[in-house]
Amino acid sequence: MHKLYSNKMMILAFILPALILFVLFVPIPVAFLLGTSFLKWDLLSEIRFNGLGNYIYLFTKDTYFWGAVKNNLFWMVGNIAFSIIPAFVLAIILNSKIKGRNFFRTVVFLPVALSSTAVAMIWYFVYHHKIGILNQIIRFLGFANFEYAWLMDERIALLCVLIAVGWQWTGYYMVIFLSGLTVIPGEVIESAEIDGANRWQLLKSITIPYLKPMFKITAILAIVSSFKGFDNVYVLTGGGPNRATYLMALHMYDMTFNRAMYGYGSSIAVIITILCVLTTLGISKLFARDSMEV
Amino acid sequence: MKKTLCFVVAALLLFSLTLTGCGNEKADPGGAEKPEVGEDTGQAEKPKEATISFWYTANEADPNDRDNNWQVENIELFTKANPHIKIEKTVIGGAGGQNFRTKLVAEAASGNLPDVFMTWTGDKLAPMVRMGAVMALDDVIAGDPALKEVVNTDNLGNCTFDSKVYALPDAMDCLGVFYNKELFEQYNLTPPKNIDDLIKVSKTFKENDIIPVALGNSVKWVTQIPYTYILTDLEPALFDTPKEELDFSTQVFKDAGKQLKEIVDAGVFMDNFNGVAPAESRAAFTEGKAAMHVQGTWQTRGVEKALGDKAGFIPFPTKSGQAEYMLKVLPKGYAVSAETKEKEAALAFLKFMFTEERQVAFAQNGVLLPTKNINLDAESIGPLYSEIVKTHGNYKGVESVQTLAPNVAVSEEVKSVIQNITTDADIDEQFNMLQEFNKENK
Repeated sequence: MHKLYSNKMMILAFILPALILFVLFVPIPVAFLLGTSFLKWDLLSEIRFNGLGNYIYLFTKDTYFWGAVKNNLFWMVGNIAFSIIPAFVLAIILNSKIKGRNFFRTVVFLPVALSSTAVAMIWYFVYHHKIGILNQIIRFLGFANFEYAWLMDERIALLCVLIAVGWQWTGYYMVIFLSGLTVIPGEVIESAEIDGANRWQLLKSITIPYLKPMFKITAILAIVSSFKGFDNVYVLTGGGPNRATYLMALHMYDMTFNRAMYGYGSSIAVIITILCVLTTLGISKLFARDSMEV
Repeated sequence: MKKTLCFVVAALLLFSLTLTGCGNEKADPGGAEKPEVGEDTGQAEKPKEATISFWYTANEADPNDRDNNWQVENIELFTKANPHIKIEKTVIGGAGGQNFRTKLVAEAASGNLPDVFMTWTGDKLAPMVRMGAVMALDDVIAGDPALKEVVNTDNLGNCTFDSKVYALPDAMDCLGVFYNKELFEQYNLTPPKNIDDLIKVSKTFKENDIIPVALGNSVKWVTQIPYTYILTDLEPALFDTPKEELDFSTQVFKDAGKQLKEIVDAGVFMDNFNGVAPAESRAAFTEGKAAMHVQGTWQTRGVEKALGDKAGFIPFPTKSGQAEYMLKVLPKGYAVSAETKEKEAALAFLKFMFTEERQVAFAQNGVLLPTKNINLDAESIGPLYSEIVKTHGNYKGVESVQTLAPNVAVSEEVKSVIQNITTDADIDEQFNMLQEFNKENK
């Protein structure tokens, strides 16, 4: 049997079906996307080669794109603030021996199981200016005529959407942190406690260093998902008001499908892909350097 | 030997996987060819059976959706009268018709357009016509006296390319201002005719905690309504300019933008109107919280249900106050695929939609008909609708400013720019950038 598995033909035979599917659904579409990004094409009219024209326009003249980049950066920071930090805190709390911790873990994880559209709809009715729970709570607290259109105020709309996204993904990151917490050896904590370490010292000197790989994974996931952010925003605000919640992926969608600029939309998709890859490599490198320093 | 055995096992495994994964497209046990309409099968007395595909966009979940209600009835009545023709309908809703449009474009690109389909006219229909995917209807109209009688050639502009007609518009809509007559009477006001009047009445309404004008522009296109009226007031001839010669950076576009901004700054529109959905602005109006509501006449039925004869409809006020024009649009229509294999059946269904009986039924759903010679009973169509039917004839028609754009990419940018200028964006810069985009994407 061992010999069978070391046979190259056999290995090839086993990996070939998956490899064919992978090539069909990843490198080939990516290559097609890259090729399309050099074209002017509305799917129906004649295809025109545009060289680097789409990229030049994107970087030099497209103000919506730069507005979206700015929003994406805010989105990235917000994603970390509203997803990773609460997830870490909740993981620490729910890793201790408190009553009903399994119940609370399930409750925190539950939104992960919902589709983004469903989550967006839930939060739409949280923020709704007439029937939204948020305004009703404020009215209940004594402000009888309070009616505020949270999602229609361009100053706070992006923040409102970020809270919804944070609510959805906190449970996911919490599970990652919990899995990291379980591998911290009990004797390390015990000996630190014997040496007189307090809770803060334990957290700073043992828990956080041990959780570094988890921070790396969650950071990569949160940042990459920030670049891809689309569904929640599309349902909640559609990128408005006044493009206050307009992200790169929405710009790509708008250009591709609303304006039938398939070539230009592809060039935005290429930039998003490059940003995702570069960020992932950057974070990996950053954490690798830190691990060596530890 | 073992190596050979391994290879054979692996090859068998792969082969079995391939077999499980692939279906046999050609093996169709019931695949006997159906006779074409008009083909002689030796049973002359029996009409030939045909199945046509028919696509339209509507919200099936909405019991008041005028298109869906009408089409469901059309299909039922048509198939009852023509039992040999089966209609396979596909209704795609959502995203303001965007899902439908995307799907239709993909089908057109792959040469699979449905036999009969609803389509946006103008710049959205043009690429499908250019690639030869849509059937020209001139001979069909000319060859059918009943159809010729109802088709209003004045309304075919957006469906005509190189002097040929490729679609029949389904509805004409006027864009302007619904107003609440009762609220105006209550405060001794008259509907505004010019911008000064508009600002004056708005002040009165605001002092009485009433939203002067409800406008939901989260969809970006609604601010085009006031902008187009202002632009028409400044230079109506602009709308006759050939698309290839149009320059969005000319002063008149910027001046119209500045007038719109003055209205915005005077606080005429509801708060955060660029984030408000059209349904919410309509709700503010129908609930009596807003005195006026900027929208299109496709909302007539909903407005009428809520306000009855208390609602009226006027063009958006302009600086001069000489309301000669009304913004009239014919955004959608019905077309037939050039590749249809069931030409007779497809055309029969198209013609059926445009019979007088079916047009009357459509009008009863609150639709302004783009057709002619249709006798409408004023009582059955409601007071607001009757008023609109009567008054819109007093105005010359003008299309929305986005129709000046040469294609869908530029027309979407026109909408964006008009939304942008209602914020703090520099108006001159916005129109210069629009022109640059226009030049780049013509």
